Amino acid sequence: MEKAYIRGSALVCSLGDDIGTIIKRIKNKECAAAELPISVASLSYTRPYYLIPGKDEERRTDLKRYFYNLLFGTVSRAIEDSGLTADETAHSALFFGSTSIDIPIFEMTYKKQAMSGSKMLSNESPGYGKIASMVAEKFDVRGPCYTFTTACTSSANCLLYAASMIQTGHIERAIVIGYDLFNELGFYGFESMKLIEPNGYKPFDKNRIGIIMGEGCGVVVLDRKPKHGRSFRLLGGSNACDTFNVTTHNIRGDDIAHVIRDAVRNSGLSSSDIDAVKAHATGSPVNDITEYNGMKAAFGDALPPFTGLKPYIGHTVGACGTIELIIVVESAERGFFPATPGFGEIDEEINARPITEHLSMNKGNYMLNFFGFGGNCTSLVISNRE
Amino acid sequence: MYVHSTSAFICSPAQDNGSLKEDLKKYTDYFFRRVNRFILLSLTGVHRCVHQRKIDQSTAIYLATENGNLGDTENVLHQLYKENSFPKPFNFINTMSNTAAFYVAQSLKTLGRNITVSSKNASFERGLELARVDFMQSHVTEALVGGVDEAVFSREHFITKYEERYHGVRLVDGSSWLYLTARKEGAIGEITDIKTFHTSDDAIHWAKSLPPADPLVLSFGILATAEDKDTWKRECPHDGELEYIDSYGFYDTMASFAVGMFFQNFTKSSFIHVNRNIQGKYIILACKRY
Repeated sequence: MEKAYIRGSALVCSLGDDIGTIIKRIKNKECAAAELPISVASLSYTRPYYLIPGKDEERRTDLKRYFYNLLFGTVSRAIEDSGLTADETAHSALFFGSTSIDIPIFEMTYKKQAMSGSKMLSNESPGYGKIASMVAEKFDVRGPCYTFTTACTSSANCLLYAASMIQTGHIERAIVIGYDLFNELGFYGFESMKLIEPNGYKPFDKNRIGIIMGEGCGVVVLDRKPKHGRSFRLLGGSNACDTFNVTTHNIRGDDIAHVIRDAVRNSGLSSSDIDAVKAHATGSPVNDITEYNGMKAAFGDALPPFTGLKPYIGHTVGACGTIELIIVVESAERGFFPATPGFGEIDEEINARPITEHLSMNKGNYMLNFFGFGGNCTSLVISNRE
Repeated sequence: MYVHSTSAFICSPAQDNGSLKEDLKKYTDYFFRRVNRFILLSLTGVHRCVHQRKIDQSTAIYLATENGNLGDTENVLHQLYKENSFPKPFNFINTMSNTAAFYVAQSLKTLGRNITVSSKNASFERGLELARVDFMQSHVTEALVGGVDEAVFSREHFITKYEERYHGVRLVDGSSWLYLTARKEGAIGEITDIKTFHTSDDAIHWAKSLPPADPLVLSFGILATAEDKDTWKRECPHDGELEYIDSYGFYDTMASFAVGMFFQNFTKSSFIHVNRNIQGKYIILACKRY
């Protein structure tokens, strides 16, 4: 079976677009949420959101251009970082994962056209696959394109299947994109469900209230061949559906435990081989309990150190798979596993204790967990051990 | 991947949800209260496919769609920008396009892999490719792979999407599924190949290199040109053609319907479906009916 090496990557998020700077800011435990207005139904208050800085004028005046410039720019940097030749790029498959797809663009059009009562989206949507096909055309990627829309596990599932296709010899390499840009549908949608944390992100903390959303684009190049000096591989993973409820998982965490065990097994490891876990850690009261119960059931008394990365960059929904993988990889390559900022007070109900100081480590087997609406559970295992 | 059962469901976009719900009740006792049309279509197709079959709890779901859940996204945009109100939580949740695959799994009590996938003009074939890689790695031994889409609403939209190949095609809603397992025993056929070629010549060359088999049935997707069809029919000895778009109408993941129709209408035959995507690649889906 072939191996799926992480050959290169690029990232843009609320902490910037230079990976060295982003990881330095994570090392300094910087969190950069802005306050955005809630202005429907005659209300006037704010909620935090992790916005990508810069180019505000372009975003305001030509969102479509901003949307594709950001996407193409990140893909371009990932190709450069990976050292892909034009021929290698052409012989790549393309995986695109997103929750919002092109909704930000449609929102702008919807607002401008004021087409009350019309079916503007239904009449004009180019389909979910359009963005991936535009990336393929822009960069002359001639392999197959796959767009995953599995809510917050979208780009994690892209990584899972890209690795599987490399391992089974169906493709040589894959350009894997996770991309979600700010959209009012998501921002107001989560607020309508009272799921947005107003007072600073604090997953697993006793006083947690919910999520803080963020935007970003993470692009990972997986390849049969490693780039010199880079040794991270995606060993494998698993996906399953918890059919308990469309918005929440079974609080016992049975299905989360199942997917964690399955991911470990599919990676050719045992649970004791996992050195650290990047939890999904949304900060929602129920989801954190569920996830912790699942981890305890899967690892028993030997639960590895675990962390949540969303306080640094927000919950980037469907894009969080590639974005959080890049952060784990790049942090490890700089010698540490990031702590969970915001966690301060233990919730006696679950007694979960994510790490609050960075761990000094650069070699390890890392588990990355992602869970989302629609019962979707995805667990990945990456490693830079020999 | 062995095919054990199929469904090939289409209906008029004008058919009301109430009658679809009544129809669905013939196939399942599942309680569906607040499902939208896309979810309803998904459930209708999948329950027709597995009616009176015992489905393993580990069965994986691969729902292929070009457009997903447009209706509730439209509703939420309307609530936000026209009614100046918060999205209704039920509508907001259903903007996540994987809710349909969730309800499919919940209604069948399956806990296996659950993927919603799209690929411009080749969503169903790409869904099958994901299933294939899971079967190869033994992560999955039973799977339901379906193509579900609501009709695109306007002729103008259709022309924009398909570059002026409207030809008066009747637009329909559709949901067609395959129940696949790793077991040959009891199967009615198998998916023998899914391949992508950059030219029609390469695809025909591949097809001609296949060992002589059962009578061959050819079929063509929406973007196959008249020239494509003529060339294939001339170069690739075949015994019949399954024409489905002029006869039944079109929805965006209609290749799933073609496969369903093949399995329901032919025996001891091989099947090659020639799809072409907007970039001009040829996506070939080959099946065998026992």
